[in-house]
Formats: sequence, structure tokens, C-alpha cells
Amino acid sequence: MDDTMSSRPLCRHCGAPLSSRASSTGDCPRCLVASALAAPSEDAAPADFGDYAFGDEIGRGGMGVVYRARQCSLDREVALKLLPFELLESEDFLERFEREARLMARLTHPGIARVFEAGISRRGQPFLALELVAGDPVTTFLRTHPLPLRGRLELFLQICEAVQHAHQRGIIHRDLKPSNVLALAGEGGPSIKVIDFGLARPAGDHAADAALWRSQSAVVGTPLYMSPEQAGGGDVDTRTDVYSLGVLLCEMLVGAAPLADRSFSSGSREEIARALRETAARPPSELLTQGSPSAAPALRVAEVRGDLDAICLRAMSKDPAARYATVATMADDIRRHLAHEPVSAVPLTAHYRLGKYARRHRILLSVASLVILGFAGAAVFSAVQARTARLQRDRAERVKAFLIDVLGAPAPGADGREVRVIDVLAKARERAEHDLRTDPIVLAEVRLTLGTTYYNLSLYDEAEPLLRSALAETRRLTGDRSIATAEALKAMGEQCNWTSRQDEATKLLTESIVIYRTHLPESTAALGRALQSRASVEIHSSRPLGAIPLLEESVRLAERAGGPGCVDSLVSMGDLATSLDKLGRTNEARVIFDKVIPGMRANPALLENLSAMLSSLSDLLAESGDLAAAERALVESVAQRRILYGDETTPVATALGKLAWTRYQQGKYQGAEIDARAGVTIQRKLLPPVAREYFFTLRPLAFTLLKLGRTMEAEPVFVELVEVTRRHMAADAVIVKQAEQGLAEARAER
Amino acid sequence: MPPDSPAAFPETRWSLVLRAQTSAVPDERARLALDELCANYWYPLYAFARRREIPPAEAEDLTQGFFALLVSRSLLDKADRERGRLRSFLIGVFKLHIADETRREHRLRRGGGHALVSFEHAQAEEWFVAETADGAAPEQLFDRDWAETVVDHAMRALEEECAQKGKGPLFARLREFLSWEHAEPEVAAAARDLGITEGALRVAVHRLRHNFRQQLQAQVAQTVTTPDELQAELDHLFRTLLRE
Repeated sequence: MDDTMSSRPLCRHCGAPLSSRASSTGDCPRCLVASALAAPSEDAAPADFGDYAFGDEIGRGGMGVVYRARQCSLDREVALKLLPFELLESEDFLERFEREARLMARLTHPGIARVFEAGISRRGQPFLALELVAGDPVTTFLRTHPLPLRGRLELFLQICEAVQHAHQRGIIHRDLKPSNVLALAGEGGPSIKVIDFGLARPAGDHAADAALWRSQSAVVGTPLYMSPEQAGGGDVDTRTDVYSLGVLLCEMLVGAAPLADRSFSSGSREEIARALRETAARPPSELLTQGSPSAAPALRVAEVRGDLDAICLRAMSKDPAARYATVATMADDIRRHLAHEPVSAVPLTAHYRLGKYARRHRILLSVASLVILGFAGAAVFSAVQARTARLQRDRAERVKAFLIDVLGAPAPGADGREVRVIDVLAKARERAEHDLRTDPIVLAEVRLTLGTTYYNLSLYDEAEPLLRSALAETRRLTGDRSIATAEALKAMGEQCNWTSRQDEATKLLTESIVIYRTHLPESTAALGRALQSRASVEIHSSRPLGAIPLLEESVRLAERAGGPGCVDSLVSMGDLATSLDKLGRTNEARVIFDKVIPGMRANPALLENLSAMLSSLSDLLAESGDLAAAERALVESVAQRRILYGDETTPVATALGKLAWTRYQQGKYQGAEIDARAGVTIQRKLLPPVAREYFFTLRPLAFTLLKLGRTMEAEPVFVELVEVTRRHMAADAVIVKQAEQGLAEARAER
Repeated sequence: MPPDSPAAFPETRWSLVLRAQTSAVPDERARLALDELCANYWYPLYAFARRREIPPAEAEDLTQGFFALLVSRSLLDKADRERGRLRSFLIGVFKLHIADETRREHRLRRGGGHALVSFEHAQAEEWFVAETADGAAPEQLFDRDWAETVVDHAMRALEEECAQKGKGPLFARLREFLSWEHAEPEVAAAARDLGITEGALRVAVHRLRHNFRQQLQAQVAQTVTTPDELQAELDHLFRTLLRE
């Protein structure tokens, strides 16, 4: 405009004359209208987001538009989500937005996409800078990467862990659905990231909530994953996420959501809420039988019917109080199902429990077949007893670790022979309990054998009454000084030691040793083993000093009975070396390790002991500074454990973590990262979050990443490491402090 | 800027006036509505007359006389085709009125017995003198005067709305942010002055803009009778102001 003749001052922005009217003096009507026009657009105006350089649009939905962007100051790729201006209409939006942003900043979990920043653009538009996540919606992923049932459930457990992590920090997702759960194939198997955590979603029945509902339903078109109480606009708590997880699990199993055949497209909010309340969800197995076109053909109806139906339906109960109270309890049920244990969602009927028992024991027995075959094949109890006793030694800990691993490993196929074995064991127990004709001394021996067998299978509850009654009966029938009574005392003492009743264990084992001493030389080997068990109590009670004389005597007795290098002597020597090492007497320990390990290598029956010895030796070597030798020992330990337990087991993961730490200490960062990640990947599949074992893998991974300057990756690992050390190693201040310092360093360098 | 709820278009001042015109019974509400419209939009008409080189005193008389006829309803049946929108109606009928009056060489004196709009002559002339005379057609200049009048009323309404909510000081400090994007330091300074965070300030500015847009729409809505007209009139307003 040519305003040369105007006497009105001109706008310094557009050159138009400023208003001289009463209410707008000094305003520029042109600019006022131009900016009023510009504001409502939800699309990016990149200049408004100073630190972020915009890339392509990634997605668009009721809750805003998402762009790929680069955060210039930190030189990192992010997903920038621009939230709708509509949100600002609710007066307390900003307060809630900032409060939730603070909460979200504390949410660091490998299964949750990070929120880097929650900000307001220059135009007042709220936005989130989020971790950029590759991957497909989990249901899409499962179509392109069909997984067997176990794989699907393990993937689902990852989702549960992420959601539970958030719940523990007071954050509800409120919109769990496949497009918010992304899955990504990786070296160590698929992993998930939950995105779009509860941020900036209206909490109650707000005006803005209503507005959002409009836009959401227009875009999403289905409230399939929304709990009835949330659809109705009522208050929600974490159980709304439990509901959504139930729907998600169903879809991950059978390829369709339970209410997928219903059309919600035309309904009002009230109608949808009513439909969700009144439509009974169908169990997943039923969806499978009806052959939904998108159903995953990989799964069989029989795999899903029963537990998984019950778990899904319980999670999707219309009444929040009938659902799982927490995501963790839902995850526990999935884990129990995977371990063939009774799940809480299914009412315990005798038939159900027996079915579970048989399935579970099929696995247990397959790993402990040596024990079982020894028992099942024989009516000759003395032979069984001898073999069982030899197996027993102080291997309870390893047996237990072993069995836990096996439970987490892929289920073996149905094997009639193994099922028969457990049937024999159960039948034998029943007979031992009710048989009135057999000689009571034989019966006591049977109970002792059965109890010891259950003990070796980690079935302490089953073992306890058998061992107790065996001890009482043997004492009554053979007297307080008999070898049989000493045997029973020793078995009961071991049971007490393993079930954390060290005082009672000490009393029982000491009595047993006293009796054995009166039967020398006949009881030489037995006394040696009893001393070994007694030493084990000292080790369990963190008194390695007390264990040393017991073990020294045990070794002497074992060598006297079985010759140098016999199995019993090697086991006791191994414990002796470990105890010496714990006391810092590394030179003495080293000498013994050097004797024990070759002996164990030569004896296939001692593979388990060997891998444990190698691990202890590596600790010793590392402490004494011989990192190369420590690394060699661990490489062997990993290999042995793979043979013993299988590739994807926690002992292998722990050994991999230790190997990674040794490599890290030698500056071999690449190898360290690979080993640590392999270990973590295994643990994620088998262990609950924040389990103690994570320490071994997270520590090398975190410090390696830090060393490599990848602080963004290192930080969440450190966060988890700190959590693990604080929970399990609070007593070891050095370790906790080391983790905390690492975290501070990662944050400082970020 | 689509109207909020196209389904139920509320009664507007202008639709009230037009409806009353066909009724035999005098309608007090309609009379008040017309008075308010006159009070709001006299200046563009006055300026239009002045641009026809009619001297200030005569331009005032002409405008007052026009309103007197309007209020007595004797002008309302003229220019039927144009009467959908107040702006088009007024300028159309006002042109005829000027032609009539010029032909008669006789100016109606003010009022015809009616209380007319308060006419701040000195102020009107002050505004007019400050106006540009950049060679645009008088009709274009009329439209611009009209648009600026709408904006001015929208600002006044926004200020009142803020004052009612106890946000008078916020409005006073942030009104300049309504028109222009501000650099960081200015944002920071204003946030400091108001004792809020910069994010909160940006949100407040956004809200204020949103409310201004609504006020603008509300002002225009009073001069039309249907949603379509509202949209067309808003488009016209923006085109007028944003031309070039």
C-alpha cells in the first residue's frame, strides 16, 4: 500500500498504517488478522521450534502430527510430536502438561520410548520431543515375523514390563493399542518399545476431552482397546491399561481383537461406552476356531484354550475390580503358564492342577533324568540311595539354578517315557505314605530316597514331610547313633540349609557328623560329604572362614575313601578354593583351582561344578590382575554352560556378562558390547525386571557404552543398573557408588 | 476460519432488524439492535461521504440523516438484493441516499425526532484526516474502513472479556503479542513481568489469539443472517486487510 500521504504511523512489520481507533490504537489491523488466521494450523511452522530441524512427517492422528526431526544442539534424531492447540482450551492444561513431563522424564526403560522434552513452541503449541523408534505395530510385526506361541508371550511380557515400570512411577498409558507398541527384530530376538505414554491426555471429563474424543474417533475409528470406564469418560486408574493389554494379548495370539467384528464407527460416545460394557468379549481360542481371516495360522486352538483364554478374559473384565490388580500379576500369570504352573486366572480344580503338575514335571524330570531313572528303574533302594546321595552333595544351588533355567527354556515335546517316570515317583510316594504291609525300615528308607529326590528337584515342599518323617521313623527304629539316622539327619540338614534355616541345618548336620565319626572307617566317605554339607552352611551364612577346616577335612576323607582326584574330593576342593578366594587368600586358592579344574574337565559328571569353578577362578584371576587368563576361563565357562544348560539360559547370560566385564577391563570394547548385549537379551526373556542377575550384564554394557562415548545409549542402562545395585547390593557400597557415578558421568557428557 | 456451529445460526442484530421490517408492530429489540449497528458502523459511511468531497459538517448531516431514515424504516426496503449483509446493504443504500440528497441539494437535519448515534465529529474528522488517500476507489476504502472498524470492536470486546475474568493486566501486557511474533528476549521480559514461565506466556498468547479470533467472528456475525454469509463476509474482511 502506498501510504505516503497518511499521517498514521506505519506498522514496522508490514508497513500498513496502524490503527488510530479507540480500542485498537497502535495495533496493526492487518497483522492482527494475519496472526489470528495463522494460529489454528496444526502443521509445523519449523521456525517456531528453534532447536529442531524438521524432516518428514511420520504420522498424523487425533493427538497431533508427528515429524522426524533433528535436535540441533544435541545432534540427535527425534520424533517431534505437535499436539493439538485444542488442548490449550482447558485451563489447567499447562499445569498437567508440565507435571506429566516431569514424571515422564523419570521414565527410563528399554521398553519405553523416551520423552526428551515437553515444550511450548513460539506460537504456544505444546510439543513433545520423543525418542525416534523404528519398528512396526506389534500386530503388524507378528504378521511379517510369525512367532510361535512362546515367542509371542515373551514379547508380550516385554510389553507388560514396560507398562508396569511406568505404573510404578504413577504414569498410566491410557491408549495402549498396536500402533503404540512397536516391535523391532534384533540380533537377540524381537524387542518392543511402547510409545505415546499418557502424556497430555485429558485426565477427566474435560471440555478438551470431549473435543479430543471427536477428533480421535474420527481418526482412529475404533475404541477396541479402550476400557468401558474410560470410554464412558469416568475416572481411570492403571487397570484401564490392564484392560487394553488383555485386548492386545488376544490380538497378538490370534490376530484379531475380541470385539473386532463390532462396528463402533457411527456411535456416540455414550453408545460406544454402553456397547463396551454390554458386549461380552469372546475368548481368543474362539476367535481362532472361527478362522478370522487375519488369524495367525501358526497357533493351534489347543495352545490358546484354557489358561490364555482365561488370562485375556480376566484382563478384559468389564469391572475393573475383577481384572488383574496390576500388570505385574498379569505378567506373573503368563510366566506361570510358560512354566506350566497353575495360573491365577483359572480356578484351581483338582483336574487342572494335576494337568499342570504332569506337564511341569515332564520338564523337570527330563533334566533330572539321572536321579529319576536311578529311582524308577529300581526296587533296590540301597542302590538308588547310593546314587542319589552321590548326586546330592552340595549341589542344591546349582540344581536349582539349573531347573529354573530349564523352565525358562523352550518346552520339550510330549514324551511318554518322561511322563511315566513322574507317574512312578508320585505313585511311589503315595504307596510310601499308605503302605502298611512293607517293613517300616524299608518304608523309612523309601521316604528318605523320595524326599532327597524331590529335594534335588527343588521341590522343597514335597521333600519336607518325607524327609521329616524319614528322620523320625529312622530314629525310632534304628536309634540315635545309627548310620541310617546320620543319613536322615544329613538329608534334613541339607533341606534346612537350602530353605534358609541355617541354625536348624547346623544342629542337624553337626549331629550327623558326630554319629558318622563313631562309625569310622566304614563311614569315611559319608563323613566327608557331611562335612562338605556342614561347610556349605557356613558358606551360605557368609562365613567362609568357618568352612575352611571342614572342607580341608572333607578333602582328606574323600581322598582316603576314593583316591586323589575322586569326585567327592574335587567338589570339596572346589568349595575350598572358592572360600579361600572369598577370604582374599588368592595364592592358596589359585593352587587349588589349578588342581581341581583339570580334574573336573576329565570327569563328565562334574561339568556343572566345572563351569562354576571356572567362573570362580576367573574372579580370582581378574582380581589378581591376570585379565587375559580370566577371559580364557570365562570363554570356557560360557561354552561349558551352553552345553550343560542350553544357549538361552541365565547361567550362560551371567557368564557372558562376566566375560564382557573382563573384556571391557582390557579395553576390548567391541567384544564387550556384543557379549553384554547377548547376555541382556537372554535375561530379558527369562528374568523379571530388576533381577539381581542383571548386574552382571548391565555393568559391562553401561560402562562400555560410556567408554565408547555413546552416552545416550548408556544412560538408560545406567539407570537400570543403579536400580539393580540399590535393590540387591545395597550392602556393597562400592558397587552401588560405581554405578551411580557412571550414571552421573553419562548424564554430564550428554 | 469456519464458523463454530453452522447448524444453528443464532439470531443476529442484523437479522433482527430485517425481520422487524416486515412486521407491522414496532419491535423494541430490533430498534435497539439497529441503534447499536449504527453506533458501530457510522464512521465508514462518514468517511465515504468525505471522500466524495462533501465537507465535514455536511458529511455528518448526511450520515445522521441516513441513519434517521434507516431507523424510521423508510430506507430498509431499498436495495433488496443487497440486504443479506449489512456492509453491502449500507454502502449500497448510502450511495443512493447521497445521490438523492445531492439531487435535492438539501440536507436532512439530524434525527427526525429520533435519538441518533453519538457522533464525535472532531474525532471522526481526526481519523479521516489521518487516513490515506492512496488513489484506491472509494468503495475499496470504505471496505477497509469497515474492516478496521470490525477489528477495533473485536479488540474492545476482547479487552472487556479479559477484564471480566480479572485478566486485565495480562491483556494489557500481552496485546502487542497478538499482532506479531516476538523475539525470545521480549517473551522472556514479558514472562518476568507477569511472573509466569515462558511456556505459560506462549500459551496465554495463544489463548488470547484464539479468543480474538472468536470475537472477530462474533462481530462479523452480527452483520449477517446465515452461516454462508458469515463465511463470505469473513473472507471479504481478510481479503480487504491482507490485500497486497
